[in-house]
Amino acid sequence: MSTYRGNKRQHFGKGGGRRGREHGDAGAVDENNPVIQCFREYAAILDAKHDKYERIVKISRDITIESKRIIFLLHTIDARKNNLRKVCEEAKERLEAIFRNHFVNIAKELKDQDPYQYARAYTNGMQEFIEAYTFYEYCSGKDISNWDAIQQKLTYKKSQYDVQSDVESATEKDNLNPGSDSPLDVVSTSTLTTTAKKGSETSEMACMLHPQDFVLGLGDLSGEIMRTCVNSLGSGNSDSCFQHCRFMQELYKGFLSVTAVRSRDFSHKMVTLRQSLLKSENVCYNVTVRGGEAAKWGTTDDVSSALFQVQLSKDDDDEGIFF
Amino acid sequence: MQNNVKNIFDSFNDYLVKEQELRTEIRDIVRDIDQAAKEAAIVLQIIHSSMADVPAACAKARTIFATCREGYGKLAALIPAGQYYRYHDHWHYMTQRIVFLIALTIYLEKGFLVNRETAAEILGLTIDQKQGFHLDIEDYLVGILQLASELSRYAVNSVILGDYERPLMISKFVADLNSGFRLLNLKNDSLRKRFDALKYDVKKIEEIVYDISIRGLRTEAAAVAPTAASSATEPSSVEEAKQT
Repeated sequence: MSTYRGNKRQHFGKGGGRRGREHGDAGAVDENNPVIQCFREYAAILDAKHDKYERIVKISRDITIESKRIIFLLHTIDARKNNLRKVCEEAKERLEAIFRNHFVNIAKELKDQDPYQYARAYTNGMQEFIEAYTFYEYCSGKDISNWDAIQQKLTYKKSQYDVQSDVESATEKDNLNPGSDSPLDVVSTSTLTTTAKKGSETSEMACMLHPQDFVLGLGDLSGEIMRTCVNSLGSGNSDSCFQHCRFMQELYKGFLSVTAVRSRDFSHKMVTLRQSLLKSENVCYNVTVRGGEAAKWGTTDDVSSALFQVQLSKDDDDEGIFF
Repeated sequence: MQNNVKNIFDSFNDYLVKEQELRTEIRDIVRDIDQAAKEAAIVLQIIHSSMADVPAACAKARTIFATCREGYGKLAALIPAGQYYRYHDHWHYMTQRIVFLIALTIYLEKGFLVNRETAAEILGLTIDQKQGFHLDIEDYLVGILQLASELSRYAVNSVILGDYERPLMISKFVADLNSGFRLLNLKNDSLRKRFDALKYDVKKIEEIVYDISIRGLRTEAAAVAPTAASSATEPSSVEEAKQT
């Protein structure tokens, strides 16, 4: 022990140690420099911010995966198997689980933050989730919820998350602690959450649903409906094609009514929506002209459908996973 | 079900219209502040052509910052709580530039780097996100990076004006900045791109110092006219650096 210490001192004396050299060089880090002290502080703040962002991105990715699976599950609804209720039950349960397990964590991260600062981190997950959720509602024959209703579900009351989040709060504290010696934001959030846990019972936290995410999610929904439309033709349930098609026309009308949106995604989605609509209209056209039986045999594979890459001959069940 | 879709889009359109209105108001205020900031930028350009007028330019810039401060007050009143980052894109370029101008002014006056807190104070802002309208840290840092490029130009021009000491001071200052920025873990975003340009500013200034040193202009200037070269606002840390 003592020899080690002596060694260290020796290094220091010679200026050969790392720290000693730092003080010697003009360009190296000088801890006493006010500029350096300031930047240490800024570094901590930036790191805390980036870490939070990354954590949210991670949760968002999990939500995306699970939502895609739920959509895939909902595509297995088949009138011939009479499994509508069973599948819907399961989908509902899994969607509720996303609220319970994933969004609550995002809400925790966003507590006392400006939600718009991190909106980009979870926009993909949110859109995919909206797609799954509205698709579930559509499949089970309910009305599509407005975003207020979903926002309500994304707002967590104190009592609601306290019961189940003992383990989670422990991990959350672990996440917060490493940086908590200097950055202002982190310190105050961690103290705030702890006081909230002990104190006021009415505290509320929310995972913000951006209305634009909701509408873009609805845009994605159109793709799923188109697929359902084509699928139901394959399973001989050609009557429902018209119903799906009408819904998509409504959706398209809704999208057309939107003006002055500040997003490139939006116009991109419009194009995709239009293509999906044309596909399903084409299906309905073929059902009308040739009857449900004939349309199944690939007569839709004409010029217009080739243009939009409809491949009815393929097993459409697979496609749920690609989009 | 059909009606429902219509309702959703109707309320979405309402939402967009409200947002649009607010954005228009924000844009008006931002334009006014931006105009003032431009004046300050013009006033401060004097540093590249005349040494004597610098204090006056700084004083003028200070009054303009007061105008900006008023503008920011209006902006803060307009933005709903917790929605700073929703409209942030309207003012972040402007804020970066104003931070740069403040940093330049304070550097010219006192010779040190303005910290985030002081810069925020000058604009009547806080640095705490929870108190609403604040000075975003990345805006501050980008502003500081702009200062570095301006100082590299200032170094060139001060040589032209016959001040051979100033580049040395600037060199030390920018080296400090550089080592400060090296402490940050930057993501691959605009701040990172801006930071990557810093090394060229550092290089440029080092070349000027080299040119001065190799021709012996530095010692000559220090020996002949130390009082003429250094203005009254020169900081003590730089004095020390000169001695070594």
